[in-house]
Amino acid sequence: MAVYVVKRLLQAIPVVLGVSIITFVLMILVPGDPAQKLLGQRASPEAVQELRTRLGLNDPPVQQYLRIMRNVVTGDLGRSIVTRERVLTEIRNRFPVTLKLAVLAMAFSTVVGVGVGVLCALNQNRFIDRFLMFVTLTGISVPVFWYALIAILLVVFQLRWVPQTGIGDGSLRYFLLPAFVLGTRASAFIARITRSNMLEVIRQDYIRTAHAKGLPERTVTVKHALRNILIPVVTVIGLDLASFIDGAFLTEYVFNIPGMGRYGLGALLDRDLPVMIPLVIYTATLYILANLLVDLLYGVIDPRIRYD
Amino acid sequence: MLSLGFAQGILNLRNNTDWETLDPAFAAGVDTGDMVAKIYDGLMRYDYESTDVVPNLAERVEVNDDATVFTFHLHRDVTFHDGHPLTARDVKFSFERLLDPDTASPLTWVLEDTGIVGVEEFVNGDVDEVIGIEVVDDYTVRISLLRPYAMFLHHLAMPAAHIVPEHIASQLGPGEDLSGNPIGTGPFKFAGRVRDSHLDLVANEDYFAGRPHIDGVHYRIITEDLIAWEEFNAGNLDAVGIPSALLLDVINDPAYADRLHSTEELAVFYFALNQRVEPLNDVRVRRAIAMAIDRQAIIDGPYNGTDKLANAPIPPGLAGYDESIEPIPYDPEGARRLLAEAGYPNGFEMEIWSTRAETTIAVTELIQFFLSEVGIRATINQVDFGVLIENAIAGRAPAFYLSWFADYADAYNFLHPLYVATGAQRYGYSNPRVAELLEEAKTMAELEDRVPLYQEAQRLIVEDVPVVYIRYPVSYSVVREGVTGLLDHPIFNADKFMLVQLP
Repeated sequence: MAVYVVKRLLQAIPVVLGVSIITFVLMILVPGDPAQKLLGQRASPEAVQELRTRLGLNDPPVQQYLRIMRNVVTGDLGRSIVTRERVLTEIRNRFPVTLKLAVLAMAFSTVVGVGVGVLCALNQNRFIDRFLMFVTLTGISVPVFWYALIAILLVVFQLRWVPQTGIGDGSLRYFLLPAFVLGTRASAFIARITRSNMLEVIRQDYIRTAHAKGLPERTVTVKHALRNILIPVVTVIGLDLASFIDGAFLTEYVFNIPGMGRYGLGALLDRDLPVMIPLVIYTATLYILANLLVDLLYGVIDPRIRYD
Repeated sequence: MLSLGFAQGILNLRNNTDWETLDPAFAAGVDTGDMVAKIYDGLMRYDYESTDVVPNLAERVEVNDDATVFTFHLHRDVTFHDGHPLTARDVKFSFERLLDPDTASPLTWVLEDTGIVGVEEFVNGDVDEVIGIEVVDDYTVRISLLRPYAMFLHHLAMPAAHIVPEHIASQLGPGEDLSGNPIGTGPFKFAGRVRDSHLDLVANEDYFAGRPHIDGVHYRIITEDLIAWEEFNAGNLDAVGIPSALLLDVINDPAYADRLHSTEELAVFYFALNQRVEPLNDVRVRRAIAMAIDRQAIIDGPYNGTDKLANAPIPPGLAGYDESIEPIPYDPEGARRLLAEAGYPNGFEMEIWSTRAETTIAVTELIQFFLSEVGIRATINQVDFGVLIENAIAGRAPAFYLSWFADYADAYNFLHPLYVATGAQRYGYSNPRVAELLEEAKTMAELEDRVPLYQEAQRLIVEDVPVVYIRYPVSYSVVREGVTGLLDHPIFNADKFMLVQLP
């Protein structure tokens, strides 16, 4: 098992490198110049060139990339070229905010998703099933930006359940609505996956056997059926968690939450490569770790799975 | 003390993005400049009621007869927020820090363009101080110019020329700036921030011009206008801009009537025509384009009809604004005749560059429509703002829609940058007489002497149609009942919140 984990982590290195190189190349190719953006329209072309030189943007791309990567490897991460703030300081401030949001969103989407999925499967083709499946379809299709705005207008400004948008004093209640909005789409996915897998499982012989043994309905559902659909469901949840921690760009933007998503969005718009590259590496690492975690969980869920 | 110690409380405001910096040397934007004015002071500042520059940290300014030597006598009781007294050394240090290539400030032009003696040698690294900036004694600074420069005191009121503490700024490590520990002399002290969430200021009890009435300012970053509007209506904000979609409703709503503020901005929005691109090098073609566009329709449509139609470079609110300039009329028939005369009876094809801002897209699409009515087939190329600027400055955009906002309150700022300095690069425009007039005007100390020259230059520019003028913007905001003293000032860094009172 330890060997397996180490092997997987070693495999991750080329992936992370590849992702960082692709991002770097794309950012170099995309039009837009951070020096020009910093200087605004007052600047003469000479002034822009001068600033580019000072920021190291005129150095050969390979050299620029290596400079950023050296910062990443040494753990220093360097500074933003727009705010001159340390990237490490920003990540330290923002990660807890995003993590809090992500954990809440995941808890919400898992409980609601699995619950709805099971309920629908047990009531296949009845009204409740059709109704809830319609709701989940809506949850998947609705544009997040619009949905978030409507949710804010209703919950914050009509019902006044929280006094304002943003994170206020940082207490939990400010995170509930954004977590709900962020988790909606995921919960709809989880519900649909749970339902379809559940439908397959409850037609299996061992479920019929369990019923025949006279086990209570509840025991059959939870212990015999649910446990056997966990593998696909956990896979989806794992990837969702990675995408949540990655920082929900739109949700954080609309709700004015100072997390990783806002940071990444700002860096992208500013072409702030010394911020972009560490963030992309962070994202790639998150997905790799989430995948690894999911794979390890398989073994817990299904003891027949071995890691050699 | 006259203050009776009323608990005034905190002013709650919103910004739509975070401040990129809290260091004057890097404050290139409107938001950052506005914040710098709260935390720091310049030798000069804008008068709260007009666009005149008045002494600020300088108690008084002496000028020699040919306006090349300025002696600034500083207030003696000024301290930085950490208690350290401000002296003439800090002034010299701040200016040299801005100019120092190692600082890598994007705003060196603020001092470079004024022609201070010895700046060039300093910037080139030949000497290690600017000899034209002299510390006469602890409270006196003398600045010498190579030649008279009329806008010198305006430049000293700009955010980049605000004074920073030498004992702190000289200790910064490489790549560091004052944003982490912004200590100035200004009316408000920095009290903390969470980036992308909020920023707090508290009143400077020891401010040399007297403590502000309010106890502090709590700024929240709220990205969406509509959300900010709802926050205001829920009582969470003391003032807010009005979202464009609601503007007419709010302006006409009697409930807001006595709390509505409007500011005629010192700004102009224009549709530029690049003379390096055929057939835009023909003035008849440019005039035809101007005649083809129903500019009032653009103002009535995307701009809610609340802005002022622009006919010339200098906006109202600045000396030099000329109401007598004959507007180019909306005349599609005449435009077609002119095009035929210029050899394009069937029109031609052209490319318009625009940013992705919603309103800008609406405007360029209207322009595209009006041009099609006279046979000009235009395509629109939508790019990010930075990309547009980059290409416009490099002269690669055939036609583009942009705006210009004042750095300081003098018409020179609307004529020289756009029609002499970068004008040539952006749209291949040059008129030697215009350059000559402005060269002459900038050495004249008295505004009343400069204005006739500005106006002559303006008439020549309007004749040449380098751009089609569209609008002078008016901005609107509302304040909470009983909040007074927020300035409707056209210069972005004029308000230091010294007059603000809460109910």
